[in-house]
Amino acid sequence: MNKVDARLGKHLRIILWSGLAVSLVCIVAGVIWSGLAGEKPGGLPLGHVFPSLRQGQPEALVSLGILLLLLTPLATVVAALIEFLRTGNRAWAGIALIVLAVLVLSFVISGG
Amino acid sequence: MIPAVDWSHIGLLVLVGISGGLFGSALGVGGGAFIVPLLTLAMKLPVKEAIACSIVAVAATACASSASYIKAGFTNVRLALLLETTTTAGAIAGAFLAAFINARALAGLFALAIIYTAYSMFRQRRKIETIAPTCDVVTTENGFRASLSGSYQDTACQTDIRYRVKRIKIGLGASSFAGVLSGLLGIGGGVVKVPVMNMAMGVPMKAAVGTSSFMIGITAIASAFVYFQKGFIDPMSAGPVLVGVFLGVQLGVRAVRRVQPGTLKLVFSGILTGVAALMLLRAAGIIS
Repeated sequence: MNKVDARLGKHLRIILWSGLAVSLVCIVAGVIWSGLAGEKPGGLPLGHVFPSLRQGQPEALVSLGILLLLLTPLATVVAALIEFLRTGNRAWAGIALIVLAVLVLSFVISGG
Repeated sequence: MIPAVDWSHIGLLVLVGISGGLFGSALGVGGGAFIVPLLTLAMKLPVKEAIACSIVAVAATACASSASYIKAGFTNVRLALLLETTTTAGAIAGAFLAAFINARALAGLFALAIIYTAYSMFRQRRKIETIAPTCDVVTTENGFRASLSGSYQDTACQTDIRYRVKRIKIGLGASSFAGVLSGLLGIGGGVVKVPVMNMAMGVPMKAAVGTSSFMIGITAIASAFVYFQKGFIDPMSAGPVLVGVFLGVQLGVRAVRRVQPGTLKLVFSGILTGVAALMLLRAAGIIS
């Protein structure tokens, strides 16, 4: 494995573990909070997550955790794009950019 | 006893997550192949909610398992990104098609997809993994193809494995199909990607599992946002499943490091055959 891939691998591991840990904490805390509040949370669209969180609704914390989990793989693609740009790998930066563009398109199409 | 929360139900969801995380991470398939049938057949969740929950679980499996596989050297990040260019586009299409397709038809499609995979894997279980002679051979090719090559240390075989990626166009085509399956059925697409990488593209089984684990997370989120915005993801189902997935992945990743590639393929085909049978029965209306 060359140095670029080794460095990229290290960054990806950090992103993956961090994203997973934070999202799990939010989800577990939100479920426990819902239980203590006697509420059964439903799914919240993205536009309602932060306003509901400000209003102190536990289901918003769970939805935030799910959202962070979904954003973690996206963050790995961004990290790969940055690393390839930094090392002058234009072809691979272009490939990472295509993947990122399609993911952003999916987000836009879904109404996010 | 806390009101409004059925803790036994949550416990069962955690167990579903553990099984999905364990087998998903060990086989590079994300776990949706097991989670969707368990949620619909055992937990009686509606199919679309089960698929939405499964996609979230797939993302969690991918994050946890690919972090470990990257460290072990199994994951070919460049190959994953290349194949994801077509997979993600397919996943978006599949997620929108899911709103217009009947639930039993979805189950039937799912079963057909994994029957094919199970049969293919069983036939290939004794195939010797690719060991390219030296990296010097690889560097005589053009730079792009050479940059796709990979190597890792297989501790179970006590061998250094080096490989060259072949048939890239076939891989891209199969990946777009895997993406559509992902969006339609809530699976990570690994049921197509792992066999295609291993049997058509010359990628050794453990590298195919590791690379697929990285890919399925990216594939899952392409369609997951659609389900998230439509409100199909039930946090009270997805949350406990995610906790279980995290636990199951820890076991699955350790198993992959220790077993022979042929054993992985045999287990892969056997479990998928069982899951396919259950989903066919459901599609036929014999079981609910």
